[in-house]
Amino acid sequence: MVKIRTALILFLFYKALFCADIEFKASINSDKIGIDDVLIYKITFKGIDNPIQPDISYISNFRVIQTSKSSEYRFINGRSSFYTSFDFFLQPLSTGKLKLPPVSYKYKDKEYKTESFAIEVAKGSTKPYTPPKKKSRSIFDFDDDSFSSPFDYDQRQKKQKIDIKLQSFVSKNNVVVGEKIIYKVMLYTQNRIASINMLSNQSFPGFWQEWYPVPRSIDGNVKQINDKIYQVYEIRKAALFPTKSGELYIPALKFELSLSDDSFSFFSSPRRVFRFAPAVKINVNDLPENAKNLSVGNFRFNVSSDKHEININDILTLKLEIKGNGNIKILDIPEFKSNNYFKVYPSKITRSYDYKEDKLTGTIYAEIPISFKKKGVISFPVLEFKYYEPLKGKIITKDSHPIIVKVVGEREMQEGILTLPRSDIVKKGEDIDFIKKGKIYNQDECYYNSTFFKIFLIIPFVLNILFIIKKFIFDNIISKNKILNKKKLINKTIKRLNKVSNYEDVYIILEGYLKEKSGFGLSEINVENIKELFRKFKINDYDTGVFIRMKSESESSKFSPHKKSAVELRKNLKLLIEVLKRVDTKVK
Amino acid sequence: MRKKSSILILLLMLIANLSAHSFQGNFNRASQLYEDGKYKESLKIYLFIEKYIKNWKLFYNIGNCYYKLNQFVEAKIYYLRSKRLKPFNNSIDKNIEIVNREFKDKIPKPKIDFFSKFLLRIESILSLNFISIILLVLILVLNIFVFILIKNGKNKIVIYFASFLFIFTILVSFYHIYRVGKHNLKKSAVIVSNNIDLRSGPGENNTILFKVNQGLEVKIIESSRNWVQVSASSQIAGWIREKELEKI
Repeated sequence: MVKIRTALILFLFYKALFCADIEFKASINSDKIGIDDVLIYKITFKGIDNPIQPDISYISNFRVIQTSKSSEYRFINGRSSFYTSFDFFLQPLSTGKLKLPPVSYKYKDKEYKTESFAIEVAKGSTKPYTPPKKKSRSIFDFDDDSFSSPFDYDQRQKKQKIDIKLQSFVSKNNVVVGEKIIYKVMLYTQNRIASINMLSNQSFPGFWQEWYPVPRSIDGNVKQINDKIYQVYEIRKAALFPTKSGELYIPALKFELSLSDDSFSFFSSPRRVFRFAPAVKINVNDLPENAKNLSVGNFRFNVSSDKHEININDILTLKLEIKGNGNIKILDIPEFKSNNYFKVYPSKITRSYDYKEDKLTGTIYAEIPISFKKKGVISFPVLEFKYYEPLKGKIITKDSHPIIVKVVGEREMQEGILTLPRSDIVKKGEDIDFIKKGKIYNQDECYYNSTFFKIFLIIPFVLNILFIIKKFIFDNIISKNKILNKKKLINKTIKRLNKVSNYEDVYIILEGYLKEKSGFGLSEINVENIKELFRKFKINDYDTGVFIRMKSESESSKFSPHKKSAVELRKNLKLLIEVLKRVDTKVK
Repeated sequence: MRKKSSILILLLMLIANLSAHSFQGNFNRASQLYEDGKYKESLKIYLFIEKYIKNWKLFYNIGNCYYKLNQFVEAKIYYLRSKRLKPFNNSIDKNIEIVNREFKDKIPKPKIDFFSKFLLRIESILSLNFISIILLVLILVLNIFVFILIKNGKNKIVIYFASFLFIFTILVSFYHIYRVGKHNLKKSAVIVSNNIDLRSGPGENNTILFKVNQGLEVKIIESSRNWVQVSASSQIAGWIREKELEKI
């Protein structure tokens, strides 16, 4: 026991030291298949620790119906390597020559690429599945090492007797569709084993399978069988879920075992033997009619909310959890739909597995972001999750607890801002899944460039300047010019005379004119002074007489009961204006 | 005559309204296509709208389309264009962070000092158009005060108010000039090719100082013929051919 364990540990240590080479390869099981067949596309990593499953979602000609992962050690030319393989079971979507594009993988800043494959897809099926022939024999019968040459066999017989046996075990032989079966391959040996390598394909038709990770070291038990002591190791384990009813077979699996016997030199290549884990028959019954589309197993279901009071437009994250014993990977979560009150955004779904002794439990954890459109108390609809429990043989319904959320706040729903500002969900490309909606306008259209802006900016400046010009230049300089003032006075007087409707207003206008023109005070304007002034500027007697007469008549007319007619007034004013023009040219 | 011109104005308004509606309709259609996973078709429409409208949402969505189509350099260019029109937005920052993971050169951005951050904050709150309108209103009000002042003589309150308004208008005018300058100046760019030499001067004969790769955001310092002096950080700067970068 101790020796085998030491050998295995040494083997692992040896591997850790020498597995520096990195390889990334792809292979297919056949380049000619039928449309009803399944193509197995294997991607193998060498020397990469715990690689992530490559993304092949962009392959459009095929549909991925199942994936599986396996790991193993291989000794090649005395060096050990750790291999991890991903098997993709692909269903062709059309006939003809289909192309499988290369798959790339980034590791430590380096990109690795596989080759591309051309697959010819014919109608129907080219490889009908035939179940393996049943062998009725004791599990402790030795297999002949038929892969070794007679010479090797003789040599081994001389050196050491080989006593190695593989056995397949299943947790149940009678199940229903979708029910979990734990499948194990056990190794019984009296020899020391250096490495184990599964050569058969891990894909079993009719089963959806989830392989347990290959352990880095294996602990064995001791068992006595037929008076012989064996070391017993569990070398492979998988959870299988039948996808159809009837008699299904887990095929015989071929393993290559490298011996690590004392009789061999350390430097010589290890002896290899090949063994088969026998095939196992499983009877699969149909699910009851009303349980056909349901998950099978035993689950717990819970929905909770991170908040119970929220503002309009804020994000609330509903947390939905389904945990239990069943095929979590193909289980669909109950759907939440948007309505008039709230909007449901794409959720982030995490599926995880817990590999325990003989159990494979899993959890689906969904975070569903929700934003609210209206105020009020909103009660979320109760979600129903149904599954079929094979042990009880009935359908179990589990309801979520009612969730009540109070939506408050006055903020408007910002149309189109779909990004979740306070979401806890952070994953690559998440924000890229949300785009901006709502109204768009041209942000490059700047007012400062528009003609309107320029006009509105210029007008006040121009007005300002004009006002300043008027105030400081015209009023202070131009308006004080004598010639201009003179012209201005006569024009103003004529304008006022033209507007006169009562004869009595004329003398006021004439006095005003004389006051401005001669510099007399109002009290100084009388007949004598007017005569004196006009004489001084050599104004003829006729004009002087008309001027004085009109002024006097106008003055006295306010006391006269006889008013001049409009025609008479116009005639007089016309005469006065002519006289005034002549006077104005002479009086300086 | 007046009737004819009214009809013409109405017609122009109708055309403008219709064209705005058609852009909005196309934008909504492109968004729907994006949500349906038809990124190429969506991108085509967005790029068509971009010929006529520059909007941060549009640029953001174009960036998303390019990202989905694995054209990361273009995605980054459009995210940065979106950021230019909307400097403080978490979604844009987040997407720039995501797209940056696809590029080799990862130079941390220098920390922005308090004053620059303050200016950027103001920029994000007050758009250039808003500043333009404020300036216009201030000038009009100032004019009214000047009229009152000249017409009614020396009123102390009016003088104080007018003086304050005058100083404020001058400050706003300077800020407006700064913003217009910034708007017209394309100061940043993104390197579009891999393994590009940053040289000590404009020309192939100058010494190679650094090698830079696509996706790196750089600041444009000056241009000389077909060469541009850029800096990626306080320590990485040099001359590069203009065709090797795309201005934001």
